[in-house]
Amino acid sequence: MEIRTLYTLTGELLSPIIASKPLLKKGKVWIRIVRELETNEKPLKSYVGKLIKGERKIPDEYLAYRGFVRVTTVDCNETRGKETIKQYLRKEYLGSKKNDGLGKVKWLEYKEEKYKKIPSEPKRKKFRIRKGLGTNYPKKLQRLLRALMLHDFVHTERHMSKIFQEVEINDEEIREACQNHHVRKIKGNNLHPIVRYFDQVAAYMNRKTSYLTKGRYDFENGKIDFVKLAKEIEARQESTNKLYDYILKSIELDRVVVSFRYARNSLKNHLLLMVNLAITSYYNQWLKISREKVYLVRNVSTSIDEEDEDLNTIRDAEMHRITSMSSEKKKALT
Amino acid sequence: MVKLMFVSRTFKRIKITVRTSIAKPGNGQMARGNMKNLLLVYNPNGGKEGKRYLVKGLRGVLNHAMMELAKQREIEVCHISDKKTTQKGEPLLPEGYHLNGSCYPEEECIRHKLMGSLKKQSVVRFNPVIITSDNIKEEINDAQKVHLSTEIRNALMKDSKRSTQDFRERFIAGEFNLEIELLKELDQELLGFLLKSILYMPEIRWGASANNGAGKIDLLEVNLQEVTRTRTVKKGKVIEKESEQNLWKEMDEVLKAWK
Repeated sequence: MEIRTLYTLTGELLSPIIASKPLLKKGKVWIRIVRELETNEKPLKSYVGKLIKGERKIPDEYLAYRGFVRVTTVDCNETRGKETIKQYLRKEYLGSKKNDGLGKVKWLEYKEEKYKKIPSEPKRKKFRIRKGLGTNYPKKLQRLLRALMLHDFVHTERHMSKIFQEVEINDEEIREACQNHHVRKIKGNNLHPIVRYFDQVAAYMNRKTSYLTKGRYDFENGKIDFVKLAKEIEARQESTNKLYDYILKSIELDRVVVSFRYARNSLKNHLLLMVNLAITSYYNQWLKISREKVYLVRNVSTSIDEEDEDLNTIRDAEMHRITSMSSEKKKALT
Repeated sequence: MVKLMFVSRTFKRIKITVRTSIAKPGNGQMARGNMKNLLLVYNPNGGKEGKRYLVKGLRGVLNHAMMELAKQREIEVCHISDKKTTQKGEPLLPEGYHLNGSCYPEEECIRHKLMGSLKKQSVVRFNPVIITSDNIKEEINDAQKVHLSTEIRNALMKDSKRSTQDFRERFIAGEFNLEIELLKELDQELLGFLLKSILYMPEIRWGASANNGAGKIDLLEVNLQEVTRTRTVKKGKVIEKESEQNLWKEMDEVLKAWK
């Protein structure tokens, strides 16, 4: 078996080195710039260039680093490994603008040691949205998934249906859980805390950068027939698999935004994320099914509120959308 | 291991000793928004004293000296700029010069042969001049001690006492060494032009406030040297040795070669 050796050459930077990043790779050689050799901290930055009236302007501005430099290479052949280090020992300058005196190195130490490969951390399984559900899930879980998929298609005290048209849900418990998913507690409804919990989690996961909008969807690219959409969802409310498939392939739901403050997140993604989160937590046994009910193993905090938006702005924006709609839809909404 | 880890390099260099009464080569970060600072290299002690700064702008002085010297002898050389006019249409290129790098490769001028441009690498390398304050009593090898101070430029209006000027400029004063390495073996004409340009450098002002008396440099010594630098590894530590030899005869011949 070949024995691999790690060859290290360290030096001190006498003048700032111009480099785009503090870690560079030249062939088999790694060059790392550090603040101090013992601590391996990130190096200090300095901006080199020609000063014109107190400002540096491109192309006369360069990012430079100062500190120490460590050149490393791993090789099983001794002469070849030493020869590569020797090339660097011969150099007095690194980086660009050498002729102006930048990147001067004073070499300090040379070291040889047996190379030990650091075992990499096991890769975590990537969270993916399923392209179909199938029918292998328990019926109680399927009922929960339906509740998750339908929760934004009903009017609540916080907001109206996100497709403006309320879907008539036949199952009473699901309807109650969906209509009150912004209320903190309801007695006698097992689905309500779970719907509320996954709604919060999915919203939290998607909300990274805010992007304000006043419209629920991009009406410039054509109007969406929400009445038809509501009927399509209504027809599939008894089958989890069909409903999931419909949401997955729906172009209209991709255009509808889930929140006015985070307008880059679509309603389709939000619903699919909720369902997939519930399934993964079922497999991880965070979500369990007993004879009577479905329940979460971890405690659900009731203090966090998913919709942290101003109620008035939402109502105003939705009313604005209603006024620009046809009279038939207005009637249907009121 | 010792034999394998041995490198050496022999080259020529010009070592110059320069003295300045006051110079403002500020090119560092704008500290507190109103101070034109020197470029900080590192701070070994971590305190206020002992900061090492990089002096900039000496290559530019040599560039301008070359241009002026060539113009006196009616030789057309590269200008420092590679643009004919500004965005507003004002001319940038004076008479007697051509655009930087435009002569390459057919009729390469003498300045381009030495200093290069974006098209060709220079054959002259300036060693970094690292300075520190002369307040430090310890002996140091990594920097040259000069006087470092700050000039406060503050002016108030007569009646309202509002400030019309409020900024600071770092300046240096004293003696320091400048080393110019020659990356190639130069012929006598090129080396002569380079040495005469160095001798012309005191006519050009260095850094800011040139018309207010700052930036005047005096040349104390100019030496052409042959240097052999070796580097070995002993017990893991890199040991560097340098031996130098002055080339007086060659320098005299070279100065006569270019008129």
